[in-house]
Amino acid sequence: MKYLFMIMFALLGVASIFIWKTLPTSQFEGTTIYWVTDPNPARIEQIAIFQRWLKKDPNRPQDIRVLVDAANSRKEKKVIQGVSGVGGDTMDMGGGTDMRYFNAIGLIDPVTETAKKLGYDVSTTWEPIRPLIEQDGEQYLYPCNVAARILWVDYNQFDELEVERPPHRWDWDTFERIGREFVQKANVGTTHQERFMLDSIDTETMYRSLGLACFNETLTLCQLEDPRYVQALKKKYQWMYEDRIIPTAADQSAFDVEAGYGGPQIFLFGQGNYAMFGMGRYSLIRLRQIQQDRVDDGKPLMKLDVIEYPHGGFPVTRCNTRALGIYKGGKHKEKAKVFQSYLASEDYNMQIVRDADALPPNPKYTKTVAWDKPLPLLPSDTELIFPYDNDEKHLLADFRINFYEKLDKVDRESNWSIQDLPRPPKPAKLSDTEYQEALAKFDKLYNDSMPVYTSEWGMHKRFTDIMQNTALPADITPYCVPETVSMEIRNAEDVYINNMSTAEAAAKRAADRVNGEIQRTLIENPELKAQYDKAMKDQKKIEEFKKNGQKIPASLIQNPFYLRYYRVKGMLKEEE
Amino acid sequence: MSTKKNRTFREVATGLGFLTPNILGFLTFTTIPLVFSMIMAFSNWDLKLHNMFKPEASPHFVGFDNFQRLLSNSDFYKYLGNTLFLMMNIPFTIGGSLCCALLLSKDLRGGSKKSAMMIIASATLVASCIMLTLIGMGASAMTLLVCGLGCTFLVGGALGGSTVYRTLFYLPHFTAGVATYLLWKKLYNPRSGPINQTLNPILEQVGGVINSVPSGLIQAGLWLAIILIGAILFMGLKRLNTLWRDGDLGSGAIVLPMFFLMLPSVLACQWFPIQAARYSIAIVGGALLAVTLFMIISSKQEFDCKPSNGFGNALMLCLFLMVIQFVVIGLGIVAYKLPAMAAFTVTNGVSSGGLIAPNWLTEYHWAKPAIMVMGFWGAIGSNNMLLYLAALTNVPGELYEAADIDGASSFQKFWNVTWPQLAPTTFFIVVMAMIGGLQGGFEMARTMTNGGPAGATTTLSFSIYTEGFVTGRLGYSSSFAWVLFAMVFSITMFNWKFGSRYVND
Amino acid sequence: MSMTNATDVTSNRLVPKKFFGTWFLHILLACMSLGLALPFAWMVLTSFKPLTEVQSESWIPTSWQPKNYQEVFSVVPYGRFYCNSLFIAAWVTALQVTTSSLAAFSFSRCKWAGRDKVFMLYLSTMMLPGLVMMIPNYQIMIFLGLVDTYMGLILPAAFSAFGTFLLRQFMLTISSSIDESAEIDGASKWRLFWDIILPLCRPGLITLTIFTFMGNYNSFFWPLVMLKSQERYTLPIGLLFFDSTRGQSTHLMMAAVTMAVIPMIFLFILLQKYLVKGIQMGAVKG
Repeated sequence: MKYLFMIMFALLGVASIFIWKTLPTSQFEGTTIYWVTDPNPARIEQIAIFQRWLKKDPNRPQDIRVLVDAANSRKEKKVIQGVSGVGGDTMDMGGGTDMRYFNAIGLIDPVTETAKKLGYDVSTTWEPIRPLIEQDGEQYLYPCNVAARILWVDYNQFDELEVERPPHRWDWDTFERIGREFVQKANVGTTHQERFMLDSIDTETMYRSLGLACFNETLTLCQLEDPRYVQALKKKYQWMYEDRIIPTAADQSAFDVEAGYGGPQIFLFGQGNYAMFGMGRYSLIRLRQIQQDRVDDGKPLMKLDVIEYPHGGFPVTRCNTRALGIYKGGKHKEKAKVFQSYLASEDYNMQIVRDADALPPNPKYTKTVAWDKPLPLLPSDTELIFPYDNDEKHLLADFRINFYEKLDKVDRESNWSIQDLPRPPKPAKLSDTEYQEALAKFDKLYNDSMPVYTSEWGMHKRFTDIMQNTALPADITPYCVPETVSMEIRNAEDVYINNMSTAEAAAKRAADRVNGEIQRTLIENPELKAQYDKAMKDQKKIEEFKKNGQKIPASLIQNPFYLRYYRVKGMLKEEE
Repeated sequence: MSTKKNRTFREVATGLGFLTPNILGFLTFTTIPLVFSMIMAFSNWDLKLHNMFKPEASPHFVGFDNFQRLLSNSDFYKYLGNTLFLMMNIPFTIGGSLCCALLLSKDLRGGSKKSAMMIIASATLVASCIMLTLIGMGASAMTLLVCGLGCTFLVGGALGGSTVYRTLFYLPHFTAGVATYLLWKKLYNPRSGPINQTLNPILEQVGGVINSVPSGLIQAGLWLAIILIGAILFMGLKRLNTLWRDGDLGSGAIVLPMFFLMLPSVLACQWFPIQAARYSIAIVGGALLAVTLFMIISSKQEFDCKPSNGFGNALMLCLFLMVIQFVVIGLGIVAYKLPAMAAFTVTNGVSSGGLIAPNWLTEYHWAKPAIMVMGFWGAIGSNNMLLYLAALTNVPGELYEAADIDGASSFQKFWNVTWPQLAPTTFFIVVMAMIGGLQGGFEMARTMTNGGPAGATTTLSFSIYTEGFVTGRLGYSSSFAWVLFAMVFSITMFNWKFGSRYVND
Repeated sequence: MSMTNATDVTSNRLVPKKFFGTWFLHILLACMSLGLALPFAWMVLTSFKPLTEVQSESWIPTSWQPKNYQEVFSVVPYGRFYCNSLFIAAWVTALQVTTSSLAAFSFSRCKWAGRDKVFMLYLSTMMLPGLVMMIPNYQIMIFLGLVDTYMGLILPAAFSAFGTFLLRQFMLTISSSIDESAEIDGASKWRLFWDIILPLCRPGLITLTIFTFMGNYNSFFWPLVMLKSQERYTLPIGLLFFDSTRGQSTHLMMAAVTMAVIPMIFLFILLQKYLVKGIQMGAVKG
């Protein structure tokens, strides 16, 4: 027995040495920055471009290496590791909600000064998302990308059924009329409804378009116990269960498909189950694949366009951002900020523009020709056509960057051809003739995907329009954890949708619970209480102004929604 | 004298010496955290307010605030309800484990002529199945697959005896944890999951049948349920009465079991969809209870006993009957609603409805049963079965011989010989299952449902996790955990105090 | 009947042969096994399907695709996860069996004041929800500098009350006359432990080994919060990679799960004889 134990421990010792020896070690001399983000293959290209961007200017520190840490991107992990002092140097987070939460914990470093110095302050990004990256005058984040929710529509589906095409801006009545007609004509002779007009609509967009925000002007009170919210809830219910324009949760999960990037909606949209779906510009990544498949199969392309959500009087949509913050406990904060400043650079922004990974953080780059008239990306088979050895991989990486740099500048109107652009270098494995064949194959693949991209020309400026004119971030109260708010509201709506309460009771439940949560937070946190009391005074003043029919001074209003709403309605007293 | 002292000292020293490695680790990783978490439960520690980046703020004691808030929070009771609901599959899993163990304890060793014949027959079947599958039989390939698999098991069982079955029964246990949850998430997928793919064609047929018969006939199921519940109540109450009269059940110990026995019919008065059914169940339940109470009050116990006597026994019986009643009630309500569910409705020119398989994990009323079925699958052949197997082999053979001589039927043998002999094992399994059930559900919720839909699968432990790590209220979350501990502890003590008496009986 | 079947005394004969018969029993058992194994069959078959066929109603892939298994290793460092899981579980098991058997020996065969009280304390901690100690334990790990290390996963799991309880019960079944005769022979407690008690406890040790190994091989939450670097990830966390919102690949996930299960099955088949015996001999007579 003794020997058995000894042998066991000896074996384990050997195993330990083995495991320890095989741990990947880094030979890198400089600073390693961890980037906690989602496992998107595009991150690798973005890092490659970053390395090149560093080299462009000798004043930038050269010894930085960025490693993607996709394994810790769940919020709880960021929090747990953050408060334990072992968070990642830079962390992606949803702007706004996450920022306020992380900031409340104290995890992210303010970057106002550095941002000014390195040229990535809030003025270099979209105006509507400013509340999402700054708080109390301090900038904390810089966006990796920016998205506004819009509706993607395939006009072909409407044309085939001879239903009127949805207009770019429409109200609820128009939506209902077109929707009913569409659903009726699209589902003739089926037992189970398989085709819907729209995948889903969230109540926030709906009640906001009636002029109601989740919180009041000073963000001190959840005001969802309001006839307008009830109206929105009932309308949504009607569209789902009576008009059947929008699928119910049961319909949706009956569709449940193997979801690729962006979720199942895009797939179902491509398949014709939905005539439109709501999502940001990043759906293009999948949509382009679907279009490409159609080209390959010889099918006609979808006639894509983007339109606004139907409105109840005040057109509005939600914008959000995935933004990068600097971890306060990080060891290399200054160098991490260099990486943050890269997000405002032309190199990075053009990559986002090309890749259609939502909107670039800096609106300047949506005024380029590459934005308006996109050209095909490198075929995904490039690596298969040109089989590089492992030590040649950098050739391909360099080529990609050069290629895209030229591609962005190509004059779309001129008679250009793919041969004018940088060519993939010759892999050592291929003979000359094989290389020529490969090039020809490459050219053909590239030209084949041209129609997919040219069909998008002219569409992209609508994103810019919507982002600038109708997009607004969610209103987030500082007096309560954002997750709790969304959870309580979701639960209340679930209860209503499941027929377990009336719409009025659901509205009351949502408001009561959120307000209860606010009061609880105030008891827990006396510092907030002072701020809250001050805001309550402002709120009283606002009520006074409203009662007397006077214009409301902008300085009193904290809620970005009401700032825009009152401005549009002419109820705002602007300050110089 | 001094040598004796010396000796004692040496004994203590050796004893502690053996204990040292374990006690050190135990102190570091259990006792210290325990004390720490106890302190936390009385503090207002909140990650958002107190952490390494805010050295100036420090958490302070808030007395029983956390507990007070917790116990006055309606969500707590909802999550407790969820947890208890999910625990209702415990009697079934234990019953299933026992059945498995009983079957496996039979002598299955092959070698006789019969089993040789069986092996040959099954092997031929398997071979033909494989061949047909390879040739490709389209839709019937599925049937072949299932048959072939079954036959393979048969061959394996005939060759290897109970060892093979034991391993097969134990299979679900291997995928414990995340793997099971991921697997079942896929199985429950409403469209591509095999469960609904199998159910939907069947349900379509059933729906057709239901639509073709008058709805009243199906809805009569509700009345059948009431009759059944009446029968169960009658049996249960009669049994309680007999136990009490014979002095096996004390007067004090009869209250709680009776409460649990009556609970389903009380709740059914709220749940039943039509007035008449509510009144009937109320009358049936009330009448039976009244008669029993009258009999108890009017007569005297024949044998004197302590008021707390036989509590565990009666409680276990009543809890078991309670769960069965709940199932009957559920089925009754489903029967009542079935015709409406099966009917086709036409809205806006599009017909919908018909009987379709539920979206297990995303529908409020189906999520919990779905989780319970999964739990049943995972637990039936697990360690519980092994424990029962071990206990069964420990039952002295003479007892059976004696029973045989008395000419007992097999059911009588089970009830009078096996079941009492298994009592300590059952007791252990029940306690462990209850502890596990109260603490469980976290990994499931984390990987499968995220606590949804509308909080239907949020158990206590998942809510401890969300309170602690999502909203950051560590103090509150700790108090939550301690309340859970208190419940587990009291249940265990309860079981130990009353159950062990039952075991010794 | 009992007269004619004298050999049958060992089996409990709950179910008389005339009705159930071996045939019927076998068929019943095979059907039950089938029911329990079907989800498994689906898993294994799906793991050989191409992605496009995952949704199809037929369970049998039209074109078998064993390269799914290869692909698992290229999508994530699955081999590494595999090694990590086995490694961590093996260490935990070894340490736990060692420390638990020592402690169990102390609790069952040494006499010292307060022994039973300490043991009750041990036992009561088994009832604590693991989540109670999660946060404080994490703080301790930070204090000891063990966050994101193998040690941080191994150590907290290496000392268990359950193992001590199990082995103590086991050792109590061994007659104390052995101790006395050993003492007369002049054997020290140490010798008694290694040379007499431990070998007698073999089934118990094996039972504990299986329980511990399985529990730790599948442990999920503690590694999830403790580990930061991907090269230290364990299998259950690795599985989550296939369940992310982007790019669900059911076929790969099922291949990964299938591979994760294999070591467990081997372990069980190898040791199951001892497992039942171990449970039989000790443990549950609390």
